Amino acid sequence: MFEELKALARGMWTTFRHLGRAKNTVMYPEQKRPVSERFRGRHKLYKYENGLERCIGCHLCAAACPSQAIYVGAAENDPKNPVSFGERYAQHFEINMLRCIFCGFCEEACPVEAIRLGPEYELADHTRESLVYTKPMLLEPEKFAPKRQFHADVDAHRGRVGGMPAGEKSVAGAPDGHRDTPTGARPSARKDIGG
Amino acid sequence: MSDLVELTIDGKKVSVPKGTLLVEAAKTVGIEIPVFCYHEKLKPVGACRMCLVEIEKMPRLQTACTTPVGPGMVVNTKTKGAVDGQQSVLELLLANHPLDCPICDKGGECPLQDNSFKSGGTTSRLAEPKRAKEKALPLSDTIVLDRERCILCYRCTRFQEEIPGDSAIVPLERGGESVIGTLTGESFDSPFSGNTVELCPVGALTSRQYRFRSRPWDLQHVPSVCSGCSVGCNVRLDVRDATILRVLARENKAIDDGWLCDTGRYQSLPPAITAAHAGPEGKNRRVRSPMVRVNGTLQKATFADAIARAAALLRSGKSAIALSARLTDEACQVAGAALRGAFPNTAIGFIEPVVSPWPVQGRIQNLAKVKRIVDLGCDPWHTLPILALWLRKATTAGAPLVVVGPDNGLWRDSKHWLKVGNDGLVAAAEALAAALAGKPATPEATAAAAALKGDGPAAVLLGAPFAGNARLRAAADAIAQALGVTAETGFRGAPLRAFNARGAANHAPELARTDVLAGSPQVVCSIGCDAPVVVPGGKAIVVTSGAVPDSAEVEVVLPLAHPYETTGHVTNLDGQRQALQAAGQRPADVRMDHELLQALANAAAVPAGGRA
Amino acid sequence: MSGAHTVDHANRQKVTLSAACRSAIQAEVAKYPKPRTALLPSLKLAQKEVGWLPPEVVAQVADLVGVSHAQAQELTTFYSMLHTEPHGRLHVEVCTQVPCGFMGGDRLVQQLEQGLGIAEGQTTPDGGVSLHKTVECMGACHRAPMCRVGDHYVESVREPADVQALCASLKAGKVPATAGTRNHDFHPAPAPAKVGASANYTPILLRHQPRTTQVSLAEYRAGGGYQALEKALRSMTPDAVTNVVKDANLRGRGGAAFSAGMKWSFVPKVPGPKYLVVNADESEPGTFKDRELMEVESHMLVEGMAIASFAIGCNEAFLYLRGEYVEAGERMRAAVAEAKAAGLLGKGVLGTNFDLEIHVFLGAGAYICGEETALLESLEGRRPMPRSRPPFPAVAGLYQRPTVVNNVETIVNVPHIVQNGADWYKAIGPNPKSAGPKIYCLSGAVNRPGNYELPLGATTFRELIENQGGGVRGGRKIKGVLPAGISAPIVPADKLDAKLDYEGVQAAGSMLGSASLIVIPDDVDIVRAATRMVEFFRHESCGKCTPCREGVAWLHKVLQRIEGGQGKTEDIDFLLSLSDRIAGKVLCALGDFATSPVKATIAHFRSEFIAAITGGRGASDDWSKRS
Repeated sequence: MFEELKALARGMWTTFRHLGRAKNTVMYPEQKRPVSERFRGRHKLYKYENGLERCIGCHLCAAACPSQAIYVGAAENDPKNPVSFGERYAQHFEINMLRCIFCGFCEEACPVEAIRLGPEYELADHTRESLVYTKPMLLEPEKFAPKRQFHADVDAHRGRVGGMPAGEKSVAGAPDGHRDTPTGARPSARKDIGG
Repeated sequence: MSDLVELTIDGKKVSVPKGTLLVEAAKTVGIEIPVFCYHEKLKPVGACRMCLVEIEKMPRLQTACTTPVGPGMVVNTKTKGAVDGQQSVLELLLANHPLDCPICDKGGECPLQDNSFKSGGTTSRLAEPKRAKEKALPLSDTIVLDRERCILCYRCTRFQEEIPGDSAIVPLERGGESVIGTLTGESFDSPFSGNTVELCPVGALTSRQYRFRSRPWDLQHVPSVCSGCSVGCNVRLDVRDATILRVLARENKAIDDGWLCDTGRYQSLPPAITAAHAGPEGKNRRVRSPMVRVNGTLQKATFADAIARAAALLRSGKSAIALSARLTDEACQVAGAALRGAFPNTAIGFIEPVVSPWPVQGRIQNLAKVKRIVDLGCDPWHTLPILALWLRKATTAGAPLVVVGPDNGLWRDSKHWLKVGNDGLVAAAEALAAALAGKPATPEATAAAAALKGDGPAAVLLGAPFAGNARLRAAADAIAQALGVTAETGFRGAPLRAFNARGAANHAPELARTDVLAGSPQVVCSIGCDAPVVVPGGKAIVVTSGAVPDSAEVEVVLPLAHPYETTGHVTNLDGQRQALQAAGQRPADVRMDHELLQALANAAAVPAGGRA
Repeated sequence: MSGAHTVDHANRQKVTLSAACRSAIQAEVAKYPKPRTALLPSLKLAQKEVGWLPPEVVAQVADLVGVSHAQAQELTTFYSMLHTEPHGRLHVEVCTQVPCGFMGGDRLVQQLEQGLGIAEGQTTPDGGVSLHKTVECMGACHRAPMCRVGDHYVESVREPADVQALCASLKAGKVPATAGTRNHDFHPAPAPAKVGASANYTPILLRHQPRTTQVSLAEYRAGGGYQALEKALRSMTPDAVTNVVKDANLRGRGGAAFSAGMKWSFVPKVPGPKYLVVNADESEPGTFKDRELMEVESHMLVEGMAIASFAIGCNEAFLYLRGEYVEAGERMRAAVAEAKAAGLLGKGVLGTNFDLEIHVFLGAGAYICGEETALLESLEGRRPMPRSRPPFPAVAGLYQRPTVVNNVETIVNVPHIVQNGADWYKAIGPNPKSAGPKIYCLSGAVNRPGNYELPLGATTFRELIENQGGGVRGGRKIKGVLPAGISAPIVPADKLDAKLDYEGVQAAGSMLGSASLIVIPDDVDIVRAATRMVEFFRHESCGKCTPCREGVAWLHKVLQRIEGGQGKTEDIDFLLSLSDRIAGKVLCALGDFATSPVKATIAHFRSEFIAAITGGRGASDDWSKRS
């Protein structure tokens, strides 16, 4: 019987040995693990420095997507008021985040580096409809995407190495919470997030 | 057979009729020689040089599209020399071709892309700036030209010259500065211009209707029949999700020979049907749900309620049902039987003529082989365009065409044009008939009759708007007799334009009347008509695939499926019955014509005041 | 051709053609077997009246001729001499192609710029004069430098006084006074005492040299003219005529050197019209023989055409001249009228039952019209692009009818062969298989450029240059000689003892072609010369086939870069590789010829290319300093 107690004590000692040691547990959500440079999280549609959208509505991302998660509807640029550089822009751009497998093929396929996957992974929501991300949510997430996704350090993170090409600045700039929708912005498809 | 030629292509033995071009001969053994300028329906020119092949005993590479087979020829398409030829041509084409694939409508269905992948090199050696030319130049209301993308295969200009013969676009400038275009300030004006968009092997000529709407891999293809006129050209409807985006040609060697006119391509598909993401119902949007007038305004209603109201109205007083001749055979059958039975006191009939006073005999495809043609005020170029292309097959082979009447789109191809106004038509036709019978006539008629001498199959066309005139019909009969027109080898008739006139006449002959509104009805139900029939002070029931009508008399509006959204059958002008297949997803309450008429007939079975 | 699209069509007064012009056009339409043939002449008539071709005028011409508006615009934008923009009342074009370019042409451009006070490409503020340089060659290489003022040639503008006189004339709004179209009859004096091959040879074709005035009908007949025609019509059958020409081994003188008699025998004996088309398009730089033949020995050509037409069964013949040869065209028209009045043309020639009409038809500036099937397209009023062959013109040519196309020089040999027989002809020159006289056009840096007629194969490059040409100007050394205009590989100085016949030049690595010899002196940078030559082909490419249209322009762009000092070492081999992607893959010979200046100059003078690239120096000579 002493042998069994010794065996028990040895087993428990294996456990208690770890009591004082440093924990690997990450206390999410108060603590968040930093993601790698090439982490494939939520997509964002980017613009050029002069404010023109990069996306030219070419459908290559939709074609490359293995889950057919992307819908693109292209339209003609008004030469006096162009949205993108060139003849064509994406009037409608939707990604069904529930179908998306975050493989990054869309980013690889894009010929103009418009769509890129970023570090945000906190995308959970309550309804299927809310997870079909529309163009305003992808183009200006700080205005139109759900609040909780908004990482304070998203674009600062991107401004460093990786993600965006060197020298490129994010047009969105540093986050400072939600603002009222400025005049001229695309109407938000999401009336409930008060953008 | 003695006129078969034997040769070898890529080691495979080939045996084809004498005169076959190497490109076609190779296809018989499954070898696809890459081409751009070559097209089976156009004369080969050997311009693009894409099809260069090696032929033993010939020192230079030869173009397979201009070289006919020779006995014992040994042809190689995969040897180093031939491959070098193909890669050279592609490198040179791509040198100045803009990097437009992402924004170009042709991407995904582009022979230049396909050939580059199959036969091209993998790197670019270009260190010079690419040549810049005009982009997105509107050539007409329907076609946009991007001159940078054009690879100058000349398919479009050759098509316009050889098939319609109007040379509406041509190559301009010279050498590397060559572009396609028209006279400065003029637009690309031809009833067949849309075919050049299909012929263009790159995204140089594109359709404004379809511009940027989709990518080819997102499209479903639905075979159907063009609803533009009674020729019944076969079409392919391309659908993305729920919306029909474009109408393309689908070859039927007996009816359209692979071409489609602009009416079919662009006008038979109204914008209201193609509008993507249709917004709120406005003035020109199609009717999407049944409507009933309640307290002075039209309001949405259920289908059952609207149908019941319509039936009740039709039973309530002097009423008429005016049918268009665009309804399917099935709808006409329902109209002729069930509907008539359900509304015995209602005048039911077609609003337009469905029986030609001078019925069509003979097949459309006979027109290609006729040796003599007389056109009495018919002008197919403007009214039944594809028929004009068939006639041109005959005239370009030498058949004399005599045109009698006012402006006629085929004047260029006519040997004699007895130019008279509409009122001079009868006299001129009688003069021609007399001249053909050897009797004395006007000098023009005599000359025209002399040109028509000879034998062989013949065709006589009579303009439907004038066919009601008995004297004119008699003259047409005499001319047809003198020329020996038979139904087996020739063609005669005054074809009606309406989409399914012949089907209507076949399936609801009792309703073939033109006096359906004669008895001053108070309630008129128009079904599928271009313009809703409204009697001032009366009540109108409008069944339409168009916009909501805004007259105060309209009591009930029922949405009707467009023929492209309908599954059923139609009969074309020479009697061929063809199937329509519904494409896209119409809103739930938009019913097909035969369904709707059946529902109307059923609603009539309920006694007045009762619920459906 | 179109320019920079600077015309504001919306805010411009629209032009209507006068009644006189309209009836002239209608008369033109009535002349030809098919109305569309009249399209080009009609556009030129309209342009003569209006000064240029605005769209509404093009539309009016199209309606009168019976073609679509677009089809008329197709021609208007293709030909160099048809203008879709207005230009100065006096339109000056200075030739800068090889050899004019390095024989004072580039210099003349600069002098005129200074004298007129405008830059090349511009018009004087009062609209009086517009100045352009061309790379086209106008067939006056022996009188370099030269320019055209409207339809008039102003040649040999060498001395400063000549330039001043020209400027003064232009500023006064006057076309420079000319005798004929020239203000300087700088014709080479005959070679002093017959030297070398000309010692025992009396010219048969250019028998009146030196002379620039036309030989009249009376004079021609007095010298034995039209006796051959009489002999053919009265005592020979058509086949007999063909056979004597075949036996004489007369080879085509336009460059292809195909047996003329054999070509005639390919014409099938079928009912219906057959046509003779004489190619006087002569646009190859360095070539000006047909011009002299037509301006002086006009009737020899008429007689030759008549005999050839008789031989092939043709009753309607066409003489197609390049549009710039206005003077030659007028003289030929006059000769045809003279002959017709004397019963030598028209219905019942010389009282026999042979009828013949000759149309004198002028083009409008397009080198490609020298290619026989493109010429036929031009004659049909279509965009002149070569056709795929087969079928060959002898079977399906003009209007798809059997047609023989021969060069001017070939045809003027015919009366002599018929008159004197095949054996006599074969005895001219050392080689009976390639017999007869050949006119050598000599230009470039020689003391006496001009046309020299000698028996084929009787002389070498060096002898011709020394004996007839009077040696190289300034006593300089020769870098190389282009034997067939700019279309054949350059023959370097060490091969100049090759015989000037088809076989001899082939053995030297080139082609005799039309025998248009351009002598390039050693102080001309070959890189610039090659660039200028390729520019010609780029400008003249019709645009039908991919390798020529895209490839030649690419070659030129690379050469321009090297010429301008931006070349890279890999460019040289790239030029050779690109040339191989073009040659042998094109629809007609223009594409092949365009690669000759590249391949041959790199092969023989690679060091000059390397020098141009190394250190970014570019081409080392300035042609605007040369004279």
